[in-house]
Amino acid sequence: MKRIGSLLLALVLCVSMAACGRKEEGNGSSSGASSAPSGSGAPSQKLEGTVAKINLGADPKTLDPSLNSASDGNNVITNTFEGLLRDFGNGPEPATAEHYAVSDDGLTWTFTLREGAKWSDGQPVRAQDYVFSWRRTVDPKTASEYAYFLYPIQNAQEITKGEKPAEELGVRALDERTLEVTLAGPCDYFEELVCFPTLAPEREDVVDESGLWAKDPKKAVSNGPFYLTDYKLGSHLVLSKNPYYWDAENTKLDHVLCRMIVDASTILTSFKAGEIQWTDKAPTEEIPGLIASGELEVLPYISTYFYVINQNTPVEALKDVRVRKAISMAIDRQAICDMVTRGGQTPAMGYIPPGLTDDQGRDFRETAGDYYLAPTAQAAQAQALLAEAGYPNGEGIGTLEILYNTDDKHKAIAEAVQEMLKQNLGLSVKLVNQEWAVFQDTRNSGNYQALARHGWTGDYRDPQTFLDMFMTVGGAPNPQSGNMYQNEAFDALMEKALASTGAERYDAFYQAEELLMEDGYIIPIQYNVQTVLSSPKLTGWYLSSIGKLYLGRAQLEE
Amino acid sequence: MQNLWEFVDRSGAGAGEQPRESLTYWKDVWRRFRKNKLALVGLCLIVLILLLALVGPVLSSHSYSDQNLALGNIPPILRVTDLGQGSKIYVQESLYQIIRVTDKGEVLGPAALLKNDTIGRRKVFEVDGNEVTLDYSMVREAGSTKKYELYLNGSKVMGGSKTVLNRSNLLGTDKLGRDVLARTLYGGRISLLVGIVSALITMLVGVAYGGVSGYEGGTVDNVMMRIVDLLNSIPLMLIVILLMVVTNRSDVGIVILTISLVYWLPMARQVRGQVMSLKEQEFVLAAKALGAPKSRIIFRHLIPNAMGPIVVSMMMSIPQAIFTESFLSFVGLGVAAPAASWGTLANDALGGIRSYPYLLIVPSVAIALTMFAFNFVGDGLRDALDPRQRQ
Repeated sequence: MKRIGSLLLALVLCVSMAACGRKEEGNGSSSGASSAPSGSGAPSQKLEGTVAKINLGADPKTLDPSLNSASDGNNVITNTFEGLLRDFGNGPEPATAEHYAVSDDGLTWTFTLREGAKWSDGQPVRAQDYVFSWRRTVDPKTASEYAYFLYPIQNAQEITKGEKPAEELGVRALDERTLEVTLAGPCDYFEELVCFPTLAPEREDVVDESGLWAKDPKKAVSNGPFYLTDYKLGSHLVLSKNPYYWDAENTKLDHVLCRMIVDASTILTSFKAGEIQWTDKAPTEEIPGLIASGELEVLPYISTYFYVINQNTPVEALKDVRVRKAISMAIDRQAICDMVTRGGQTPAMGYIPPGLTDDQGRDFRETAGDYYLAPTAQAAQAQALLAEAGYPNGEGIGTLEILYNTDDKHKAIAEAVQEMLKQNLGLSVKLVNQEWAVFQDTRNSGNYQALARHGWTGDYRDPQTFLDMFMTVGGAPNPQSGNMYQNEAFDALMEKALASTGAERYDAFYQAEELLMEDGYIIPIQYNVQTVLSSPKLTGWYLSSIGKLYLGRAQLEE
Repeated sequence: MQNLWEFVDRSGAGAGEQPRESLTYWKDVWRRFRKNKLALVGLCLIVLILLLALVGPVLSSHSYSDQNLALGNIPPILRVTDLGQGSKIYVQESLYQIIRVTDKGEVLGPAALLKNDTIGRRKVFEVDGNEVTLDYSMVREAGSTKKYELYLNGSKVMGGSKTVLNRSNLLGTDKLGRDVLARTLYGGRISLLVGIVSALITMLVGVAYGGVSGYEGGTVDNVMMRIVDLLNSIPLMLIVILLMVVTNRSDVGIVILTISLVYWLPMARQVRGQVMSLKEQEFVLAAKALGAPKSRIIFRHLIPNAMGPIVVSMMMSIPQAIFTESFLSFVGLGVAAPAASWGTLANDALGGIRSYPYLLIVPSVAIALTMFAFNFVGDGLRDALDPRQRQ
């Protein structure tokens, strides 16, 4: 029986790993499943030259740019593939495209590819490779989760819905080095968008439908600073320097060994033993000590940790906005940051995290303000609101349930919130946890009683990536919203934002966020940060605020 | 003729042999069980653990769910630094925080943070009107063994430190500032409930099923054992998920049901094997010849003879059930937080094993002691129940 038990454990772990990722934060293959598969394997052949060893986390589901939607896959694809532009924190800069021109109406973009841009097998990167890749992404047959990324491009939405053939996508190769993109409407963040791994080029002669080619070292061909040379399921993968890369002289690493260790405690042990030199995951409990000793770096992250209230809740009291606001106000966010998570997070009083700028260069968060929230609990005001709504001291509300996915951090926060609601409002709260894959399904179908955990990390640096999931899709709430949010006024504001540019667009975003917050269906808890353990020997790596690791310029001192 | 026969003196009848006290089966078992010292220790331990789990949470002044976020992660053993003028502090090394304590080890509360200089790696606290600076800049220096230095109003604290036991929370507090002792006692209730109840169900079902199957043999046995095989091939997880969907609830009852559903299978197999080998023996034939009904033969003759292995595997299944419960709580089945079983307590502590090992040690010791106790008792019972050792 014991053996069966551990086999099952491994099975569950595999399932949870395969299901985790997406851009949503907090897959939390937590310590509960510790001893199961971890990257113990060493590469099959000895690697020559400078080898950087990093930890990737779970084995990426796919490394195919069109199919990938998980952050671990992105970390590899960012290093193996290169889009038209790239962004290392100084805004989008030319990459495979040498330069580009935009028409006056902002709808036609012409990219000219670099002369020396080559694939890892020596063939030149052609404009047709981009056309092929983008068409493949929007093609409903490919079923890419990120097909909607290309919606700013003409006809993309219609193609994904199956209304038009993929050939009608607004992108064409004028010649081998010139790519012309026609947009469906003005798009302020299109430069940001082409940096994203989903928009990398692909080779028609190597790609297969299932995306298996990208994980097969014999088949994988890529155009970035590295290419895949070894892959062992659940253990490790090796990226080697691409000698044909146009900027190869600046690639200092010969190989990158990416291990796949999942358990945070094991990761820290491996890091201390020098088996890995870079990781973005460490045990929550050890983070304060690691920050103090300077081993752990806290980096900005465009990411928010929040709770959602189910709009279809069976709890009558929650239909009153005053009750929802009272719950939000009764939470001591500062205490959660300082005493529960302790990892450098900051209290969240609004939904959109800091670090996004509007058309005038102002920080979106600072400009939008804190609404009705404060870092510490406003117990008296919350109680007054609750009494005003007809539920003095929480009487008559009944027991509320908080749904979260199994993970130490989520559990600790939920327990703290439970106690705060009990102390400050007299509410009785029950905690319900589910395994990650089940949890996503339950939450995204609105199948929970009252509150659920949520987290969102930006795909690009624009408020749109945070707000568009609360828009209805064809009259139904977007499952990703998690709270079944439906508000015509919100939809109207978002439609307005998507159709406009500049100040008008951001005005609409400001109003949309205000409306979202005033509706009280989301309860911001904290703004996430990225925590990186990096060996002092490894320098020059870049981790963007949307969580992508670039090693093309990294160096290793011996 | 001389009478060679003499009448014996009646008064001396039976003087040679004392009438043996009549012993029932269970009295005999208890007599032999008592001789096994280790088993007795185990039994006492089980009684003690049960008492603690039942009465402990009532007697404890702390509740298992009351949080005090500011006083989280305080260990059971404190190193108290004397600042002079009666001020005593405890420095939380891994969090770089100062807690005010008394000489005896009572926790008074956190010291107010006046300044936090993250670049200079210094924190300034206020303790009884004095400024205490916690300087931890040396941790960055390679080869530094010291983790911090303390300054009182600018001058270095040289005062001695001594180690005392934490009087406020005997086994310390967890990361949300809850009393570990209260949580462990409370967790014992759930763990033991799950362990004992599911072991009993397992035994009852397994023995009845295996006994019938083994005794009947032939087609009945074949069908019954194929059903066991079939059930055995369904993974635990699937049963769990199905039960969750069907009953739409998740509590201790479901956990017990799940564990019983899975663990009665090996028990049934084992009993069947025992019964099959025993039923060929003469005493069964004798019972048959005397016209004993099947049920009497199975439950009065065969099962008591097979009791040894049954009891041992039942005792072993208790700690196994406790472990399974902690695994099930990982997938969201079982007691909902803040309630916790030993398994979930250990699970929660795993991430902080470097800085807060006591959080893992306490529930682990509880599980280990329970496991030892049940194993000893199981061993003792096996010897005591074996009819072949009857004297």
